Amino acid sequence: MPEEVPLTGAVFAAAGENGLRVFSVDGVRWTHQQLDREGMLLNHACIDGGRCLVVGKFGGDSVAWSTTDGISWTQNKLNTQAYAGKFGPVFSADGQFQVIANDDGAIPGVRTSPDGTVWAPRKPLMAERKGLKHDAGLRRFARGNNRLVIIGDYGARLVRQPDRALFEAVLGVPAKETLVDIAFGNGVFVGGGMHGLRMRSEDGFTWTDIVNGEEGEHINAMIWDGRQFVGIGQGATYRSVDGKAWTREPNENAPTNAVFGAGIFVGILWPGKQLISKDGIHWSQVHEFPQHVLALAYGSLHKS
Amino acid sequence: MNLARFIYASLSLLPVVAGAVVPEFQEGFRTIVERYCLECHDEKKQKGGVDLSVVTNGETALDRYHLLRKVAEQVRSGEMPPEDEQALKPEDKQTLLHWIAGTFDTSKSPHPGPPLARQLTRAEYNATLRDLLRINFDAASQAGIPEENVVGGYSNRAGGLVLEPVLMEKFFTAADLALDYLFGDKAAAGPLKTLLVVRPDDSTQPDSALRKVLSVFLPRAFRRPVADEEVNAFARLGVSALTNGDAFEEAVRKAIKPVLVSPHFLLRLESTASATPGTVARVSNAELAVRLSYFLWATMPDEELFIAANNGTLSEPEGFERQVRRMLAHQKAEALNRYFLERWLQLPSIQKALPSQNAFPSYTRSLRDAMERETRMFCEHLRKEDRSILEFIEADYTFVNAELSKHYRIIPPSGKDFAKVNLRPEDHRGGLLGMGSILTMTSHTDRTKPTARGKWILEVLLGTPPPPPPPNAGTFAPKSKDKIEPKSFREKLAQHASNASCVGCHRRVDPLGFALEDFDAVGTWRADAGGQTVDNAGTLPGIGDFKGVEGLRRILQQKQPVIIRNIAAQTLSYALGRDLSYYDEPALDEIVTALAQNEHRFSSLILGVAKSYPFQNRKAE
Amino acid sequence: MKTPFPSTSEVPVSRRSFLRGAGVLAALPFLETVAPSVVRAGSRVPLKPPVRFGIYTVTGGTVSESWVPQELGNLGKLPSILRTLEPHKEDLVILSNLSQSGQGDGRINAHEHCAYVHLSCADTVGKLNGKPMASQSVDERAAEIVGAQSLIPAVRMGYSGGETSFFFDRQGRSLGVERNPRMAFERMFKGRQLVAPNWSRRLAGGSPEAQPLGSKAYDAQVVDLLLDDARRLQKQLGRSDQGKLNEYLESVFSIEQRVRRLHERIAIEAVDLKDPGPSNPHAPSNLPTDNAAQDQMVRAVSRNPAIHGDYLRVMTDLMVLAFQTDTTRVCSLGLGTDEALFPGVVTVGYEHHAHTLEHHGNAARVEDADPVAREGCRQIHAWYSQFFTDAVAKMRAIDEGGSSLLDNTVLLYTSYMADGGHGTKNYPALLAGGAGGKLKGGRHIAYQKETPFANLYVEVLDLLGDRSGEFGNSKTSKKAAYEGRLPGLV
Repeated sequence: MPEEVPLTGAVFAAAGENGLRVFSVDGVRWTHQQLDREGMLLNHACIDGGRCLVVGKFGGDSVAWSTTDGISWTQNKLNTQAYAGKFGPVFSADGQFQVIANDDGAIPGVRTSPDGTVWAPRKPLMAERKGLKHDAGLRRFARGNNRLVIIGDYGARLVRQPDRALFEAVLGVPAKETLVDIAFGNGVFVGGGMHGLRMRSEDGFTWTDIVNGEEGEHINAMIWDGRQFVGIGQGATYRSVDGKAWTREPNENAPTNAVFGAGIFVGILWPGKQLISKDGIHWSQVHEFPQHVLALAYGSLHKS
Repeated sequence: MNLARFIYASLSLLPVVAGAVVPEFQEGFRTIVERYCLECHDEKKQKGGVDLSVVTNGETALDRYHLLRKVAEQVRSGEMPPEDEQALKPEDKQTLLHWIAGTFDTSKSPHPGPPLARQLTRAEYNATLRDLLRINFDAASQAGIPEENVVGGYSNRAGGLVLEPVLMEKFFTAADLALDYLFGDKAAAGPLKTLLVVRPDDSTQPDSALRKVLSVFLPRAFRRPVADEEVNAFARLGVSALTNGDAFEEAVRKAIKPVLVSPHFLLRLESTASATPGTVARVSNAELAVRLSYFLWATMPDEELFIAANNGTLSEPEGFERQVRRMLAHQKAEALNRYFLERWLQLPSIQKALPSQNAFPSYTRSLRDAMERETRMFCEHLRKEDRSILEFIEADYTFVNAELSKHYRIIPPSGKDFAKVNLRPEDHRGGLLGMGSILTMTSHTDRTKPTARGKWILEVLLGTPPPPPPPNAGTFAPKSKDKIEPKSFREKLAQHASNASCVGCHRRVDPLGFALEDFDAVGTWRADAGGQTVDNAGTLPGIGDFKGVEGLRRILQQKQPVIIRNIAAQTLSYALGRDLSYYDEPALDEIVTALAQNEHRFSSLILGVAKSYPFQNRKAE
Repeated sequence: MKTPFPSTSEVPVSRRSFLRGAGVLAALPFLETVAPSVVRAGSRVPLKPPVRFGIYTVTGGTVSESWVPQELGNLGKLPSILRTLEPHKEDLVILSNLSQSGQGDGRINAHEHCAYVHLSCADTVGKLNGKPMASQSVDERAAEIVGAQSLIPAVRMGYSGGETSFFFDRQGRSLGVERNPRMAFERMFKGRQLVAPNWSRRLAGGSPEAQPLGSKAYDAQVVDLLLDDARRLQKQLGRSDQGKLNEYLESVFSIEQRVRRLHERIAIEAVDLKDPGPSNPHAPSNLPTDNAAQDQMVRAVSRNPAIHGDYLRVMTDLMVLAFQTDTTRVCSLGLGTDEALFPGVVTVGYEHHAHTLEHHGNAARVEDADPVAREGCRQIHAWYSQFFTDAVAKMRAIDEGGSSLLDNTVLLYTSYMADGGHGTKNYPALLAGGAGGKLKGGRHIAYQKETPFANLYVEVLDLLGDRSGEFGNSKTSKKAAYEGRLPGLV
């Protein structure tokens, strides 16, 4: 697609170092690239409501970029004062973009915005910081069964039940059951972690069918591709329809983060490598950016 | 609370009570220690790493000076015995302090410390070779001479330097490379001309020209007057080359190469041949000049210093002070900054600090270099403008460029480049404690490390480093069931520090670091730590409560005598190339007194050290 | 003013004559011209492929659950950190539960503590007057046994990040490590041809013919002058100055010895050149071409894993080459650095800094550690293992005339800490190679908990011909076990 033509419909978005933002319709050809100042790190991306939101840091500030067409971007600061607050993963829920703020020892917070431009003040994510180690980061998110689940370091799992405003922590999760990624499909949440760890849950609180895999084969991405869960790990890809019965296939060139869309898996690998795969097992490199890519998203732009 | 009570009146030991006889070991030390101390500080328990049972008589006490000094300090300040133990009776306290003071009193028989053999450090070697041959050539790097492998101190620590075979090979290589440059590179034409003071001509035979060249070169290379016979010995190689048909320049080269790998050049030898063993004598003028130039310049004496040594003016007080002041103002005195002040402050560690790019994207290489430069310029300013050394603790100025001023959020300098800027109280900067370099190098990649900051203050500023943690304490102690999950790093640290084996030190270390919590891990002033108010309050045993960097500065102002004495001790230790001991205390007393009389000016510190007894004297073995 | 230094005039400069092969001084890197090939009669020539001892030690401990095999005895599938060694299993012995028990003197931090006990197994380590205190390290002890027969008694390389020293001589003085690959190469090979020893010819005898010595060369005169001057000077100095001067003399003397050895070696290698051994030694492919390229490489190690990898590869190649050409029989590599960043090597989590990962990935109880950071540590160590595997593979491929270089080597793979939390119990320890047919591979041996690491060094030294049966605290440790030996290893 020519660079000057506004993007519309389903696209992959990637963001990374030096303010890199770039799109692809097929995961192969990357267009509409934008860069910003050196040292700007964009590490989270989300597409929803026809809009792409990218969040990151520059100097002492947390920055949020948003666009509806991949060409014109607006930039905002998320922090109200310099050096205050670490803003983490972004997702959309309740028709809003949501950015998690999580700092050492503090109660995690969230800022919401309907359009990525106007942001509501920080609100607490939970009633107290409980079940969350003081320096545990919050990392990934999944939505399903009318609830939201966020996972993080040292086994952190936060669940927002239907019709509740605040998240609750799942207590007593041992650190070794830390999940690296989580996905929802077929009525269940499924997570993956270290050494091929996999497990499933319907409500986010009770996790069952906990299995381990090969030592060292950590799962970096857990994806629901519409038919099955695909856990992409270091050295092997694990697949399951229900999160109970799994198959394991040795993989090649596996990425460290991946998304699925338009029938294709798109992944990233340091430094700046863009990969694609049809099955989540065999990966091939399609492009290499001079900047490292830190975030991936898939969704539709500019829905009228 | 009377804070002054807790401040060491002087870090030197109590003066010996006039007229009173120093008690014997048994009644002056052993009995008292048995009664009050050994329960915790014996060989078995060694609380805080302190074992007092090692002191078995007055002789072994002399080897335990640092231990006993600590005992005296803590007993005098009331820190020991701890509050919940039996208190020391005043008369016992008096006796113990008197015994320690008497044991280490050298006022009647001054002692310059052990004579230590020295070899040139890498930096000294490089600068000396450069100055001797007058070439701009980095021989040490070219030959791959490694940095010193010295632990816990300055690179010129005599005890830590080893002249091993591999290093000696590299000195050979470096000599060849330097001579290649001198005799082969066009850029060295001038220096070569200066070296060859005479060339053979109708009236001068090649061999006598060679001797003439060497007779000028050798005293500079060996940093002392040289006898004719020595000149002849080296000339012989050149003469032999001339006989074999080498050209004059090649013959000179062959004669001076062994000079550059000679022990007279590579080592700093001081002659005691004529002295009776056990006697103390002032070092010769030439030796004093060498001591002075390696102390202040980390290189060989220059022409003027050689002359002052030769004509005797260096042994006159005014002549000596004139030389010291001249040298201190000289550009070469940057070496004092680089190899002493910066290492004292542990500034090289900033190059190893790696704040995570994820957490601190603003931390770039140029910002790091700017932080380092700020501290460097601050130290240089102290020397060049002869400021008070107390400005290390508190100053109303600093040095920043545009990038650093933005990072600090202070008023930027007029241009982009580094300049001196005035600080306002609301900037919270000024002095070492507000410097990004110090704050960053004492932080983790992703957060501040209050323990490391506290340790830096104790070790660097106060000269009272806490003992390293026991080998197995590297990680946080296991959680037990009755302990709640810590909510913050401070709580976690507090839990860890409540372990019996950790509490003694962490209680002393952590509060100092928490006072700096307003600065994040890259030294930025933060309004809050993620919604939580920054927890910057602390309590120190024997000091009381304080809060924030301003509170900490006040504490340090009260600790001024300790800090000043520590800076004096560090300087003397660097100048002598060895650890200090009890026999250096009288010298430190004098340096500190002189500092107080001279507004604590930098020059007074340096002069005090240069005039000190151990710097001027040597004991024959 | 006249100095009290004595005149040198009454002693003729060229009095001493032990510097027979003086001409080859010139072939050493520190002298300028090419040497004539002359050789002294009756020199000792190595007769068969000798046993070499290599130490490959990395920073940061290990992740024991991914290093120690679960089964004892014959090796099954190797744990993930050692996975790349799978094809070489039959050449490996993995040893578990070896530990250090040396105490610190309260003046050193945990890193220094671990570094000082690592190769010395001293009962007490510490520092005094800025000087590390430990006892002789195992490489130096080994060099005393086998070093006299090789060109350089012991080679120490690595330490790109200026790590704390592991290496100590007999007097407990800490020794330097060559961190620049190009300089390490030149020190070993300048003035020589890269040639594989023809061990079978050397075995059959036939030392090269002695050739007459030329007239006293300049370089010999230099050394003569220095030694004469220093020896006379010695009498005029106080005790401590004398000690320092002794160091100087020993150093100059050892250079002289090296010259003699090099001189003999050049003659032997001249013969080998006409009829070399079966392997074909060559300079490491990524040896930096000049000092600037070398400095650039060393500086970038901690920032860029690709260059870090280049550095590990070139240093490893240099070790293999040093053994292959019989330049040394004792070679130590101190590799990896805690300060390094590992993006791309660590493919999990959000942190790439080795030291941070080590701290987060370890805890007093492993289950409290951050498993993501621990996985990062595991990846770093698996990455280090690749380069070790390269060395093993290359040594296996070098034919020394019926046996491979690996068959004739005992190569230790370990770390200076047991884990990233400064642990001293259950170090990673693995021996590769056949030690001249004395060591059988394919095994995992677990000893009782806290068995002194020194016992392993006793066994290795024994393989090299040391019959003293003791090293470090092998007999004096509080945890002494198996009478200071490792039963079943050899």
